[in-house]
Amino acid sequence: MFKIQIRSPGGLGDKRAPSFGDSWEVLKNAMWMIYDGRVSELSFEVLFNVVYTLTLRKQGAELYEKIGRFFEEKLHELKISAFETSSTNVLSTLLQVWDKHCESLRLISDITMYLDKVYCKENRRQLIYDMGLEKFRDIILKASKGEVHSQMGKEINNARLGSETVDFQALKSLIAMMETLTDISDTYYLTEFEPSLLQDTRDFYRNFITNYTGEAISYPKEVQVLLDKEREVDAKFLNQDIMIKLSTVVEGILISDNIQFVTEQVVSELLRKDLHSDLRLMFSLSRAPQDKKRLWKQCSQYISGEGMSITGDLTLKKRTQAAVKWTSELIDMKKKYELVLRDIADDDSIDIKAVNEAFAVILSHNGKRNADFLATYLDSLLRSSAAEDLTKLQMEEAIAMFKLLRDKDVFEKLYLQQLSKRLLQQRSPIKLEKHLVNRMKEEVGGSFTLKPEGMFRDISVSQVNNTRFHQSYQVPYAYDMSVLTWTCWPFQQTSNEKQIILPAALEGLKLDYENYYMKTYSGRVLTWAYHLGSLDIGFQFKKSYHIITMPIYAAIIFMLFENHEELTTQDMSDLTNIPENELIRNLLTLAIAPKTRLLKKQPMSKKVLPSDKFRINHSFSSPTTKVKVLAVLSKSESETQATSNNDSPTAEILGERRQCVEAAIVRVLKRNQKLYSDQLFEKVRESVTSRFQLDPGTFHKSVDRLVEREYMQRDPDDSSFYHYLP
Amino acid sequence: MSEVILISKNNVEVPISREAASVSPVLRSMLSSPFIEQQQNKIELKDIESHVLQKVAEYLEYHQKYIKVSENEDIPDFEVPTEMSLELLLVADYLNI
Repeated sequence: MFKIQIRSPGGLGDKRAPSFGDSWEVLKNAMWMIYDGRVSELSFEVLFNVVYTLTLRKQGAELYEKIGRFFEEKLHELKISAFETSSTNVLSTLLQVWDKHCESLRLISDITMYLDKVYCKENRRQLIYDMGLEKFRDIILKASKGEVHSQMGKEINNARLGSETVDFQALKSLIAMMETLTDISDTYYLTEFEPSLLQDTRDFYRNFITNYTGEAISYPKEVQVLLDKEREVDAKFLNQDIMIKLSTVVEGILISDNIQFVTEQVVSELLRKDLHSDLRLMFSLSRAPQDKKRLWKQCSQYISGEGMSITGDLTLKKRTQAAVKWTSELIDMKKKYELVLRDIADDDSIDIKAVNEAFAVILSHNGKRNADFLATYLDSLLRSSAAEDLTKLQMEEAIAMFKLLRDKDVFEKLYLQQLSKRLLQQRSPIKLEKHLVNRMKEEVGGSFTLKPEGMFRDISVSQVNNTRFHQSYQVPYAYDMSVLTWTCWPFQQTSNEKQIILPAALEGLKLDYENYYMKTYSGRVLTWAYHLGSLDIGFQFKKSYHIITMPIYAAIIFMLFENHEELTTQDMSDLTNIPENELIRNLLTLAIAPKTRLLKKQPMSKKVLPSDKFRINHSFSSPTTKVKVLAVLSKSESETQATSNNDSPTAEILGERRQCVEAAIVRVLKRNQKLYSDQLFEKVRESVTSRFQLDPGTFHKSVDRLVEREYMQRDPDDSSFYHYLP
Repeated sequence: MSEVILISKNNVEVPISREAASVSPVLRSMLSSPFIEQQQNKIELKDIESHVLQKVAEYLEYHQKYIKVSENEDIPDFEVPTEMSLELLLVADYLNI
């Protein structure tokens, strides 16, 4: 195209062209004819020439105005004839007018091409075509806006309800028209119609929700159907962009705005009834991230609710059984929900999180008891004689729970106690014990497993020592000695006891071992912890011979009867120096526990008094040759156990926690020198989280104590700001 | 290939292919809308001298022929007699070429 424009005064053609008025008449008539559909009678060239000439004569502006006024006039006329006389559908009338206008406008703008090119572009006016569209918008469309919008909305809603008579073609054309017309800076559709369309849509689905009477569990399917229907309807007259917008709106109404119903009723109900495919559907329908989050949260809450309803079966007599039952039920439940939720999630990390959160809540729900149960469960696993692989598998599941346990220190306490018993009594395969400890180390770090590792070391060192001892001394009995590093083992020290008087045979043995040990490790102090040991005694009763395994104290008592026929409690105490509570406990074991009544007590009662008399029960018998005497719990002990059943951590554990928190505070503050209270709290919480959950109360008390003891000080201006005091 | 006849000032008829004519938006519009021109397949351009119109038709065919040819190939120059250039420019402006 040439950019240069050279205008000779008259341009092409006739120099004595007709006046503006005459020319305009020609054009105007032609335009009327175009609107009347009589195009074929007109010569394009003639009309084009007229426009050309007028434009060249600098009469473009005038021409432009006139054409504009002509459109206005024409459209007003069309409006009156079409809308105010015909009673047919507003929408189809509108479309007819639109089509006619467009067609005519196209022809007119072709004729006025030269005006567009020379006048409009240079003077930055709208092209004739665009001006014509704008006039249409203002005169026709805006005038009937309310009616048009509501009619269209009605049609669309009818379509949603499944009406067969909806004219999608018309709707489609109307939308196309609205998208063609501009308004302000956007299309008419966007600025005017879309808000109304979206509002209608919202109202429609809100209405659906308010009137929803179906069951909660069928909601996902209903929503699916609605969404499908909406898409199907929309596809018939809307383009992709708008469809997406509408879908988003509908989802927003049906799910986001209805989230409370969706979570509290639908999700819970689906989980309760195990309708997992519907649950999956519900998840896939909820596409907004915050909705998804709510759904996961609900799942988590539901699971924790269900988990908490698995109360340990306290009717079971034995705590161990209750613990095992509870834990395995919980593990099964965890497996089930992991499976269900993994199936639902498209991203693995969330589902596990939901389950894990739920179980963390469950596990911390009953405070100490659940930690105890878990430890007891592991205890029974390790004591069981099941195949190693199976045990490992079950252990893995238990460890997964352990990971989620918040009060790990509570668990640790019982675990260590049980571990020590298992180790000393050699009741579990050491290989599995080590495996378990290694796994825990992997999960929560080394600090947790220091003590168990020390215990393992003691055990293996002791085994070596025992072999050596047997080699170098004449030992009349099979004899195992374990030397324990007391810091690693959860026992109280026994050094303040009175010297126990042992039977001669044992005394000799004890001295020999002490001798041996001192030679090997000089400078160490051996303290004997009789209450941890056990002894096998062979004894010929009247009817049968039995090998009896019993605690050392019980054995000491039993062996007194080698030299005595009958003894009172007081006698025994004098002869052995066994502390009174232990003595009574062991006497209860030997004389009252129904299966191991090795002694006869005089008088026969459930209490042991200093004056009670004991003698060997020669008529004792048992179906097996080996008999194990289990120490009964003395009353006071069983009481403390009973009261600690369901309460929060014991005083002892609280004490340990306090120390732990104080140490952590000092550590953190030393590193940072000064910190605000909440920063400090956060850091301390982090550092103790592998052991227990820090609560603000404990934290603040610890801070107060540390301030008092001048480990740290409050800032004089800001009491929530702390300084470290070196 | 259908032809269209352009008619000059002195009723000289200049035939031109429809495709070539469509190079000019003005001629294209004339031929695509249901005006007289389309029905008769004739376009009267009474303001244009026949030799100029001839040249315009030549140019349109030339343009049509080489428009699709890539730049690398040899395109022969289009000869314009100097004395005709002003008139040609006016016509070009008129036909929006």
